[in-house]
Amino acid sequence: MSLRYITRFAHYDAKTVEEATALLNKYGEKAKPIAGGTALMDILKKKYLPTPEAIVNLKTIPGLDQVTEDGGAIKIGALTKLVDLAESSVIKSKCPMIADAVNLISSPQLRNMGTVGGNLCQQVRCWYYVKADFFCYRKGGPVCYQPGGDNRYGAILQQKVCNAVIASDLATTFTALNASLKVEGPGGSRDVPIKDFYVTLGNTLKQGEIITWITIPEAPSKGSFKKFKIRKTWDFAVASAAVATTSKGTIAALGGVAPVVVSGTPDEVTSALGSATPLSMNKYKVQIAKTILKEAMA
Amino acid sequence: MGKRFVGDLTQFKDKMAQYGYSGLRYFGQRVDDVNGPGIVTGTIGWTFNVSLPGMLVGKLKRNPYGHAKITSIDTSKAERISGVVFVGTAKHPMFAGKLMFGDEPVLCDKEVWSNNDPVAIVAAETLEAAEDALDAIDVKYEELPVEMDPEAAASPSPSVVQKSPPPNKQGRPNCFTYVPLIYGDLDKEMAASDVTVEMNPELPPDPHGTPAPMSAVAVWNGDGSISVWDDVQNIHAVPWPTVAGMVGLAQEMVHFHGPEVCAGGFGGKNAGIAGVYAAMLTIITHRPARVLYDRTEGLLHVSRPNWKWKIKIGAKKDGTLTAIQATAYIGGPYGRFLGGLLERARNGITGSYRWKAVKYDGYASYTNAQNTLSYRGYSSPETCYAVELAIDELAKKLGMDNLDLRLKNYLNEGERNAMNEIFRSMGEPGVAKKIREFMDAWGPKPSVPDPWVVGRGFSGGNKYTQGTMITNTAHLKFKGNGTVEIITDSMDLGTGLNTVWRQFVAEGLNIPIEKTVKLEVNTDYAPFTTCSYSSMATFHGGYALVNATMNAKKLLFANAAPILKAKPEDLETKDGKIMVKGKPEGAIPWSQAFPAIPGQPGPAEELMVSGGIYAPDDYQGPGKMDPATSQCLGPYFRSVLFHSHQANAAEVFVNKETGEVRVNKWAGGCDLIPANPTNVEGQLEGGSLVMGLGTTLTEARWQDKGMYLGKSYLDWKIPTVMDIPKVDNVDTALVPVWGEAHGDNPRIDAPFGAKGTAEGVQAPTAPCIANAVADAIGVRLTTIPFTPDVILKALGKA
Repeated sequence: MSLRYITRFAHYDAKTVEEATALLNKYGEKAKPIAGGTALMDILKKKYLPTPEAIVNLKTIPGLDQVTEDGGAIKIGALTKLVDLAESSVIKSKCPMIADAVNLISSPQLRNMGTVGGNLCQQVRCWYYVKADFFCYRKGGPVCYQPGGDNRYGAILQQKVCNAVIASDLATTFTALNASLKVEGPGGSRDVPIKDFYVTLGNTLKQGEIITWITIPEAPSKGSFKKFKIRKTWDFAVASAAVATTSKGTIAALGGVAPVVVSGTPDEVTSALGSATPLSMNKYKVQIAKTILKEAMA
Repeated sequence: MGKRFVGDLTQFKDKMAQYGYSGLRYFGQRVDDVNGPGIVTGTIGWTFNVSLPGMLVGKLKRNPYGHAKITSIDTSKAERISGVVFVGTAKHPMFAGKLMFGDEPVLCDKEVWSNNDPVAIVAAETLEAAEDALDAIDVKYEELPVEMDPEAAASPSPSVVQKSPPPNKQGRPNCFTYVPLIYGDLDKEMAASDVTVEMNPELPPDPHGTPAPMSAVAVWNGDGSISVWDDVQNIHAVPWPTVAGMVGLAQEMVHFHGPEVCAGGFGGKNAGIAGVYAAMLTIITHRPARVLYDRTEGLLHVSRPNWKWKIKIGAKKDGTLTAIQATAYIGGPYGRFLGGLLERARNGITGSYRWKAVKYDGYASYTNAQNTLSYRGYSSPETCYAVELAIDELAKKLGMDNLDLRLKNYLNEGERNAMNEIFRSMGEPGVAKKIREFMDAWGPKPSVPDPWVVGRGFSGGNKYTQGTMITNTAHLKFKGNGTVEIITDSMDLGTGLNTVWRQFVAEGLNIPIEKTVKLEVNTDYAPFTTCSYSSMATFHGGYALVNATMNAKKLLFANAAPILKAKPEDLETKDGKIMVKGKPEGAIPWSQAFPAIPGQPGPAEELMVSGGIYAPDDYQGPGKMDPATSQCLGPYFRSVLFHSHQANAAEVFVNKETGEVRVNKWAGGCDLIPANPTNVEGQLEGGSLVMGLGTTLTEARWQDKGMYLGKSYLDWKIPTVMDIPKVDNVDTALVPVWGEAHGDNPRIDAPFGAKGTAEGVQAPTAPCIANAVADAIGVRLTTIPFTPDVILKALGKA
C-alpha cells in the first residue's frame, strides 16, 4: 500500500500507431508511452527519473495484441500481455521456450498486466539507478557507483561506462531466436534485428518510436530458457540463458550479465564468459552464468 | 501435510483443575481465529483504517546519507505550496527534543547518523501537497565518514568517534553499553577441556518487514487532551508514556488507542514513534493528523542490529561441556534497546546448557547503521545462532551424535544455571528428542543428481520471557445476557491473541467462546495487563484472565449458594448457568447471582470482576543481580520469568555449481502446553520456518557507505511460497511441559500450563539451516545469509 504521490502529467489514449508516435514525437523526451504500466509506475512513484509531462497510452491501439503464425515465422504484437503470450497456442506448440521464459518473469499479477513491448523496453534494475538518491552515469551523472560500491548484482561482461544489467528476460529469449523488431515512428517503419536493438545505456529507439511487432523468423527445432534468481518468484535474473537451434544454426544468449544481451554461437558465448571481467563482489555470477548456459545447451 | 504432533494434555488435567479448568472444552483446542473474517474482508480495526474528518497528512523529510553534517535547511519554498499547513524543523520547540533514551533527535538539525533520519516534517491537506513540500525542502549536507562495523566501532581507538561527548564505556569511545557475565573459572575450565571450538558467527541487520507500515492518527480535543491511534504492539509500557512525554502532556491527557490487530510487529512496533509525530502535528495545528510510513520508510525505520560474535567453547572427551567465552558486538545510530539486547544475550548463553565457566562481554556502540528496535526473539535467535553452531562443530570434533551431546548437557528443571537462577519450565530435551525422531523418520538422505548435494542439520534453541514492566490486571464484565466482555491491553499481532484470550475466559467460565468479546485496547478503560512482546502476553494476560474467572466464580457461587441451598464449594457453572455439581435441573442463570443493589428488587444488570498478579516482579525476589558478574544473588532471584525451548531439523539441497540452497524438509517444535495448537503451528511454520529461512538464506540489508540499497521488497528478499518446502515436508511438534515451578519458589505458575512461543520459534532456525549447509558442502559458514555468492566462495568457485 504505497501512497507515494505521482506528479501530474497529461494522458493521451492513442487510437492508432500514427497518433501514438506523433504524440511521442511532439513531446520528445518529455513523453513516455504506457502499456501494462508495470515498469513505468515504478518510475512515477519512486521518481528516479524525471516524471514525463505526457503519457501516451498504447493499450487503446487495436490489433497489436496478437500472436500469429506467418509461414514459418511467428509474429507477436508488442501489446500482447505476457500472460497471453505464455498461454498462446502458437507459442506453446511452436516455441515453448518463450512460455518458459514468460512464466519466470516477476509474478502472475505483473504478468497479467505487463506487455511484450514493455518487457523489452524496461529500465535496468541496478539498485543505484532506481534510487533518486544516486545520480549515476546512466542518468547523466558523473560516475557509475557499482565499481566502488556494492556490485553483487552488477555486470560481469561488456561493462564500459555502466555496470547495470539488462533486466528483460524476453530480450534474452528473442535474441536466441534471432527475432527482428518492427519499429514504427514519425519517420515510418523499420525492422531492427534484436541483437542490434540494445546499447549500453538503453536501446536504439529514436524520438517518437515504438516497437509494434516482434517477428521470430523460424521456430526452433530445439530451444531452452534458464534463469537463475535469488528467489524463485518475483525476482530478476542473476543470470539468464537462452539457446535456440534452427536451420541457420544455434544461437546462445545471456541476460543479467551485461548492460546488453550477450549473444553468439554457444562457443562464442562460452568463450566470452571465460574472459569475463567481474567486479569486486560478483565473480560468483560468472560461475552461475556458465552453469545455466550449460543447462540451456543440454 | 507433514506430521503434526500435539502432546497429550490429559496428564495435566488435575493440575489444570486447580486453576479453574473446565475440561479442555476450549483450552488446547483448535479454535478458529476470531480475526479471520475481519482480516479477510478488510473490516478489522487496523490503525491505518482510522480516518477523521479534516485529517491532515503528516510526512517526514528523511536523510539519504549514512552520516552527514547538516549545513542548512530551507523550508521557505515548501511553506508556500498550496495545501501545506505546517512545515517544522528542529528549530520549532516541539521538535527540539530527544526520543527514547535521550540520544535520538525528534528531528535532526546538526548531524544525521543514519540513512532515514528525519530532518523536517510537513502537515498538508493532501498527500500530494505533503509530497510536493518534501521535495521543496532544501537540505544541504556535508557527508561525513561512516562506521558500519560494530566491532570496529567498539575499538578503543575507533576511526570515527560518533558522538560528543563520547560515552566511552570500558575505555571505548563509541561504546555506550557494556554487559558482562562472569561465572566460574574460565581459564581453568578451558585449560581442562579436551576439545575446544572457536568461531566468529555474524548476523547482518535485517528489517522486520511488517505487513502493514507504521501508522498513527492523532486528534486534539477541545479540553487540551489528545486522542492517539497508533499501530503498536503495546500501549502502556512504551508508546503511551513516550507520546505523552514528548508532547509534554500528562499521561491522562493522552487517550491512547491500539489497533484491533497490529498488522505484524516482530518487535518493530514496540515504540510507536509515528504516534509521537502525529501527536505533535495535531497539537500544533489543532487538526486531526495522520502519519503513515510508506513501504520504504517501513523497511528503513528499524531493523535488527548487526551482530558480530567471537565464541569459544570447550568440552571433556565424554562430551561434558566445560566453558564458554563469548563476545558480542552490536551497534546502531542511537541507543534504543541495544543495551537490553546485550543483557538478554546472557539468557541465551545460559538458557539451555550446563556450563562450568562462562565469560561473556557484550558491547553496544554507536555506528551509522540503520536504526534498531527489538526484533523477534530480542537476542535469543542471534545468541543461539552463535552457541548452536559451536555445539554442532564440537559434536563433530568429539565424534559424538549432536543430539546426544546436547542431551548430556541440557539443564534440568529446578537446577541453577550459570546466572545462578533456578531454571524453570525446561522442556528442551523433550522437544529435541521429538524433532530428532521426526528427522530420523525421514529415512536415509535421498540421492540427488550432481551437482546437488544433500545435508541435514539440527539445532536446539531457547528464549527467555521477561516479566518486568508489568502490572498484570484484566477486567471481565459479565452482562445480564450471558456474554462476558474482556477488558485488557496488549495487541494481537496476528499471533491469535484475541482468540487465545477468549479461549482462556471460555475455559475458565465454561461458556461457549461466542459468548466472549474482547474490547478495544485503550488507556481510557483498559488496565495495564501485559505487552505483546517477549512472548509474554499468553502467559501474563492468560494468568490475569484465568485469575479473574476464578474470582468471578467465587463471587457468583457465594451469591448463588443461598438461592440453590448449597455450599459455594458444591457449585459449578456451565454455559452461563450455576448449578449444584451434577444437577443441571436446578440451575440458575448467572444474572441471578449478580450482587444485589440496596433498595432494588433484583440483582445488578452487570458484574465487573478483575484478576491478575498484582506484584508480578515477585519472581525476581528476594535478591538482586550483581552488575559486575550478572550473577543472581539471593535464593529466588531470577532475571527471567521462564524460558521456552525449541528445536529444528532441516534437510537442504545445495547446488555446488550455482550456490542455490533449497530447504527440502523441515521439522520444528517447541515446549509448551498449547492454548491453541493451530496458532502455535502457525507460529512454527510462519515464524520459525518462513521468517527464519528468509533471514538465513536471502534477507540482508545491503548498503553503500550507510546508504541502504535494498529499499523495497524486491531487493530485500523475503521468501515467497515458492521458496519454502512443500507442506508435506513440514513437520511440527508441540511438546507439553508443565510450566508450574516446584521446589523452593512456589509462586511461579502458568495459566492452564500455557506459555508463549512466538519469538522463540526463530531461535533454532538459522543455526539448524547453517548446520545442514555445513553437512552438505563440508564447509562451515558462519555469516548469514547464505546467498549463492557466499556458497560459491566457500566452494572456491567465486
